Amino acid sequence: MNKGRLKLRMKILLGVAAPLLIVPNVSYANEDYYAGKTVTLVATTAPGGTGDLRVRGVAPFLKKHLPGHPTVVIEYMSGGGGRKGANHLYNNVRPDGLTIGAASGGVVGLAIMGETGVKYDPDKFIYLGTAHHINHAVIYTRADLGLDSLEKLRAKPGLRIGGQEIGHVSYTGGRLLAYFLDMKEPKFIVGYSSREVDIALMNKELDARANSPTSALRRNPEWLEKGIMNWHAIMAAPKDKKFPRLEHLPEIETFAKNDQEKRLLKLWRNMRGVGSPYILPPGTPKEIVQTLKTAMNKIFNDPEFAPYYEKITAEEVSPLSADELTQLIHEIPRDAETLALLKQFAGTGTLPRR
Amino acid sequence: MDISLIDAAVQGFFNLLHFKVLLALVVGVSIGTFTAVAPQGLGMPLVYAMALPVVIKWEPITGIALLIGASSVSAICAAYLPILFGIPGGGGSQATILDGYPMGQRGEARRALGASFMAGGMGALIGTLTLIIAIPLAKPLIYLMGSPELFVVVLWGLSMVAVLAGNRPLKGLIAAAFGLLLATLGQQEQSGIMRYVFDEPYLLDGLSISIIALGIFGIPAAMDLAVKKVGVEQQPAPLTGSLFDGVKDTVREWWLVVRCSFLGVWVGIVPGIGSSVVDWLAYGHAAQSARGGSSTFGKGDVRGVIAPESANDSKDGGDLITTLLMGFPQGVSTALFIVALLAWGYLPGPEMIKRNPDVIYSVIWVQGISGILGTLVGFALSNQLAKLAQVRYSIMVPVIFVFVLMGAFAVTRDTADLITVVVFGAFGYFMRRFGFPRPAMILGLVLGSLMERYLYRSMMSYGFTWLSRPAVIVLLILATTSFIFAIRGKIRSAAHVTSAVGAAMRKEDAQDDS
Amino acid sequence: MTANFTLLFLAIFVGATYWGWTWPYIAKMMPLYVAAIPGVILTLVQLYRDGTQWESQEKNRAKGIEMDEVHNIKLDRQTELWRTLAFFGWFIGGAVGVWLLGIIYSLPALVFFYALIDGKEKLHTSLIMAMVTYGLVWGLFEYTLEMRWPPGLLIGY
Repeated sequence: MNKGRLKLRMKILLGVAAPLLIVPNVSYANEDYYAGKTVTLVATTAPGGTGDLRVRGVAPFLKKHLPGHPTVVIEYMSGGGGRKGANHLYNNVRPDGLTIGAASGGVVGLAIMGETGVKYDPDKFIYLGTAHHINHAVIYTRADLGLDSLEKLRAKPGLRIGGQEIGHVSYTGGRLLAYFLDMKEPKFIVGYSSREVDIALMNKELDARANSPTSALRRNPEWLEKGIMNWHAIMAAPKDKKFPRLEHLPEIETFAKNDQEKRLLKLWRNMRGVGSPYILPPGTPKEIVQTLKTAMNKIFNDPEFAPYYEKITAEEVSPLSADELTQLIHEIPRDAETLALLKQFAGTGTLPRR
Repeated sequence: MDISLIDAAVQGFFNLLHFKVLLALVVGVSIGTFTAVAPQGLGMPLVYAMALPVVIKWEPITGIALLIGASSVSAICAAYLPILFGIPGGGGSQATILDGYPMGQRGEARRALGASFMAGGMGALIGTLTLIIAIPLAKPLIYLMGSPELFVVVLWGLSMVAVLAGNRPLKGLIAAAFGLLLATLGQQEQSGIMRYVFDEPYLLDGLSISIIALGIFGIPAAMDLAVKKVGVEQQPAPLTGSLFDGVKDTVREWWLVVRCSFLGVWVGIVPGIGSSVVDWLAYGHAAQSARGGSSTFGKGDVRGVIAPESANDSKDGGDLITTLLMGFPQGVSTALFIVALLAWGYLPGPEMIKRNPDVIYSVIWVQGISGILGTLVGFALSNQLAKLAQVRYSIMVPVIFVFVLMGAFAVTRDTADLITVVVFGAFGYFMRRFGFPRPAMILGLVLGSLMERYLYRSMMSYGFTWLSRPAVIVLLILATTSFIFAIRGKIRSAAHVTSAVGAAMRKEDAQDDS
Repeated sequence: MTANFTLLFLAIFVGATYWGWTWPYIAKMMPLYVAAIPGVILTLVQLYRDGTQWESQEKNRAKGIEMDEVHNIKLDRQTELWRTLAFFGWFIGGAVGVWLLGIIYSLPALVFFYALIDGKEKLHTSLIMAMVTYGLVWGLFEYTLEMRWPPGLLIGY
């Protein structure tokens, strides 16, 4: 080939390639993507409740740490324990990173348990993390019953254990604790609000309760300090995190008799450990996902975040990053046998025999 | 009274004497007034949730002034919508429609508003005073009321169907049964069974009472204006009476105000009964007990406005008793208020009484002062707002459309809410058209789930032995007596009513049935 | 007509009884034994009364008071019917508009067209009303409070 033709080909090549070289890089990771835009947080809870406060605890920091500092607004879509909002996020929302789900904790569990009304696959959501994931449960009885040891607790038949509704974490957690502690024919009475259970305990309408120790002791510190309640065992979620002031309580897994029961506890702990996850619909571009994950990590590491969040929600911060949360969800046991066993605890029948 | 408590009361008052606190109180009163007249969707829980991140950075007393100021005034001013538009106000201002709207329609809107604000203000003050003296008394009262006692109270409330059914007892019972049936829709908390859900996620949590009330009352009210073309073909009744007439009515009925206020305080104290019930209970009690009430209630009797409004506004005092003194919130707003107190470093409950009694008294003072301010604001705006009752239908009907559709859609922002409000709007029209009393249905709806819950809890905890509890026996006797008096009053009025009103109604019914 | 509406109640109560019959006792006690089955009995009695014009005979005797607003529209039936249908047309149209177009556009449009067409208001009055509605729906909730309304089926925001 002569030099002239080579030069011509080079010119043609350059003429074609040059525009491609000077086109700006439309990366989602740069500041321009979110600048001037609005990010909508779809909260799967009602306005004004605990779930709303958790979202409001995060929203200002999302604005702060997202490049471009977009406006962050909240849209409410409560119903069905979070199913309605999760269905919407999965099926109707454009995966462009401008709509983020602020889901309630039950969203993953409801799907794994195969509940009705679930129209999403929890494994296909993209998780950005959660601001809290520690969700212990502790069981306690009225001190006037005199059940100050596990032997006495096991010997007492027909203890009336209060809870909110069938399938609620207080109910299922209570049944799990009663099962592992070999309580005799416990009676689970639901239909109470959280506060009503406390009152029913004090006026002797109920004998026992399973509850988050943080909530219980925030509301009634004298129950521990003055021995108004006897505290029996704790179901830690995650397992390795202790609850200060109740470190002396036996962890429920010490009572597990076989691998099946340990798998059951792992299922429950992981489901509880999901916390209140922030989620993206499937198909969101990787660059956007990375931008949002980075922003969430910055939020959780922001020294101003924890005091602000704890003030707003009256809960302690215990964040999980996107990767940690995704790992936790993937590790939730899905075998039919364990799920069927957990469903027995979430349902109304008598407790299974050990 | 303990000397230290007097000191705390005085200190609590002096805590308020700062410019920022007074300014926050004024802002709170303004927000409360606005939310009272705004469509549902902008209620106190949302206002609290939005204000929380801001107020927790303020001085505690300043934040308290804003939050309590807003909620107190919102309750007092909630009577505008029922009286002027026939739309239910927020929880606690639904029963006001029954007599408030007819008063508005016959030109007595100013009198009705005057009565509602005066009753509300008096109720708020009684609630506040009760809060002051409740410190040693609240705890035993709360623990006295277990599930069996609450069941009997709800049963007593349901017996008011006999009153609210008026002269159509059979249709009233049908309407109440329908309300009870609607209350069961959704997943039952005791069994997890999906009742009448038909695999629809929307129905899992049941139907919202506020959407049903909006449709069943608001749409027929608007329809009336539209079909009659009020202000164009048919002229509205000229405005008569004055705010002061309403004030005089309320002062004259002071004993009714006191009784209903204590009822409101009691509902506020006892957990579980809820704000959506208090106005119906007060209304039913007033209809049963007021002299000549069986002849005039439901047609624009001012006592039918005074009773629910005084109960609704005294309830806040009861709520604060359990919130501050026991650390038990009664609803979403008080739960958020506890969050704010915790953020400021206070621990609501016995600890707060010991360590920060002056803050408790600051709350009490704010509650009382904002009650007075709310009443004055209500009076100030009423004269002009009462003229809305004269506005022609072509302006009023679209306003009602906006309130109803926005209010319904704001509940869960689900398009199915629109279907619900349309269906119940049509239902409300037909119920009124064919004489099925809507109040009876609402009572069944509101009390149905409570009745089921308390009965279940009583049976599970006590078996049948709950029937022998002393408080249950006393309440059963009271409820039975009240029911018998209501029936006896109706039988007597059946024998003796020969008033022009009764004759006119008979004439109208004959025309309707032909 | 009254009987037709009573029949509707009967159908609801019968349907409720049918659908709930197989539930466990704890679930069906309230809806069936307290509400639906007594409701069936009550509506049958009411149907008898509707059929025999019992209430108009009963009216000759003195009675208590109406506890709900009385339907007291005094127009000829034809006019009343058309206006009632028109009213529900507007109301249902507004609800459909919210579903299709979203609340931000549909409510101002409903207000504007109702005032202009049915109410025969002047154009500028209707426009002002629509603008105030827009100010409330968008200005207060979306702009000031930053609370998003869901988009309509056909129009996203």
